[in-house]
Amino acid sequence: MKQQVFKYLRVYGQISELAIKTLLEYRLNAVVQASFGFVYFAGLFIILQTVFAKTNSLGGWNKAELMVMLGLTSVNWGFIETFYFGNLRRFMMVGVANGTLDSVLTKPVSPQFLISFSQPNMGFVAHPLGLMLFLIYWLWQVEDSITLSSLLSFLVVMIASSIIVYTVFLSYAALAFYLTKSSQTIRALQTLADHAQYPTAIYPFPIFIGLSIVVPIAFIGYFPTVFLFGRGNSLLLSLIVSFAVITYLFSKIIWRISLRRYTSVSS
Amino acid sequence: MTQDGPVISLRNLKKYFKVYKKEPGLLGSVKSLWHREYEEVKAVDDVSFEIQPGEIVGFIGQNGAGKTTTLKVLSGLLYPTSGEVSVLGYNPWDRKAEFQKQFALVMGQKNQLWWDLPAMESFLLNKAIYEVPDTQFKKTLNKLMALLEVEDIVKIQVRKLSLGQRMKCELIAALLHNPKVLFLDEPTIGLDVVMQKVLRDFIKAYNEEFGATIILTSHYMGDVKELCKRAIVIDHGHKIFDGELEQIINRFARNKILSLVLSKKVTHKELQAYGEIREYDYPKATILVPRADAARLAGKILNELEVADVNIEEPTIDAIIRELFLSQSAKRKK
Repeated sequence: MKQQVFKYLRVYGQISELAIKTLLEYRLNAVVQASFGFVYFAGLFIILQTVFAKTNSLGGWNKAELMVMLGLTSVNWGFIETFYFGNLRRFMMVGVANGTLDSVLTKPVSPQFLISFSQPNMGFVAHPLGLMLFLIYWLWQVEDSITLSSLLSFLVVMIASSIIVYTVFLSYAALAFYLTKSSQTIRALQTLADHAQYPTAIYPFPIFIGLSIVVPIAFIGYFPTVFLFGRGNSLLLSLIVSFAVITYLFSKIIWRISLRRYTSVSS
Repeated sequence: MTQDGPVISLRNLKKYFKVYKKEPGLLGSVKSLWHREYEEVKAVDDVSFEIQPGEIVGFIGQNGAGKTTTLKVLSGLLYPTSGEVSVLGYNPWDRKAEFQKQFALVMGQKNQLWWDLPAMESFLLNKAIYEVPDTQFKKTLNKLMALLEVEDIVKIQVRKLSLGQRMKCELIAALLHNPKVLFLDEPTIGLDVVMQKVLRDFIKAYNEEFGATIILTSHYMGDVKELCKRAIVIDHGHKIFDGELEQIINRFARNKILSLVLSKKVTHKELQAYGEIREYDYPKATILVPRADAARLAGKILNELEVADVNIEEPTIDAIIRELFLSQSAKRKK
């Protein structure tokens, strides 16, 4: 087990190195991508300042809390985009249709791992890193102090939420085995993910459930922030952890079934 | 580890695909929304064979014959519909890491190298994926680079390499972990004759150096003739021949070729009396005669015509295989 973890870390280290080298091959591209993160950050800041010039709370959250939630969502989404979302999108577009999955399936590494993490978008990393400054600033502005127990439960929820978001997106990626134009699905998910910037609780209940379970965007920022500010309870915590286990097992099963029916493409 | 018995064993392998047929035109597309006619395509139908350690076997067949499908089953990409398959003692579709570390699949039309970086970077990634120790990596890499003479090009961006150079690098990436079994699917496709020869020599050298078992599919008979003693011929999913390449001549060649140099001109009709004229441009003529009658007919020609020279020749393997496929499709049409 330990050996396996080291192996995957070594492989990921090598992949990251190649991704950085690829980024550096195209200097102008690297600069534009890195700048994009800061432009996005500046744009978001201006919009939020405009919104909160008119109101001080939204769905029971005050300005500083909302800013923390927005910051956390954006940081998390930035890391998701950097490390695996682009790979899943690419896999859905060409992985099965072009037969590029063939070379992945013959490697002595989990195919899900290679599909998800084979080409991190290192140029995008400036985006979450920039937003981290925003997050830290607004954490500083929160009036209520964050307790140790809420910090611990926040960490547990963050880990569980990361598993949920990854495994749900990975399960959606398996649609590529069944649909020719599956990339549209992931584009729709990305559009919905934009709604994760707002406290999911402001939406009507059916939409809230949809944003939490069908499209797990509530787990990108909303639920972790709920626990960070001590608004969660042990029932919700255990539900989130159980949901992480369920989505993990579900993605395993769906991939096993999908890989079994993989037909490759003609040469 | 030494392998006792066959390295690759297939028993009654079947791989069927379900494809749907659609009428042409917009109406056909609309109809297919709610009613689809499915057809079962037998890509591989009841194929059995065994391959011993160190063999290089040519897998010959037309497009769509089932060669690549068989290779994909052997490398664990596809689940068979039925049948037993064993490669190095493993079920390929279990996709066990121990198995995957012992084989390589190289497809001439696909690439696994990072496009924007020099090939060396992809080699290092494969080193990590296959957990190749440093010393073994250096030793194998140096050997492979020397065999393929690519010391200089591995430091150039892959997208700037020629097809032949890229194929050499693809081979190195696939062989860095010293696979015991190598599946080569059209490795020389699109390459010029010089590069084809380089790759053939390399495959032969790799087989001798590492004792690897190799299955090779190719449309170029030159690849098969130069590399393989044994050939398996597959047609529409069925195995129609498995044996030494030379046996294909005895088994399937119906004719021999009589090459004549005439001293006196004869008419087409006169020449036709001895066999099927393939070429006639006085004084040279080539005629096809039934194998069993070749010697008798050559004697008859010498007696009846004024001939400066007669040669009895075997048809080329390419021609025999072409004829074999044509006769198979004629049989199917009947």
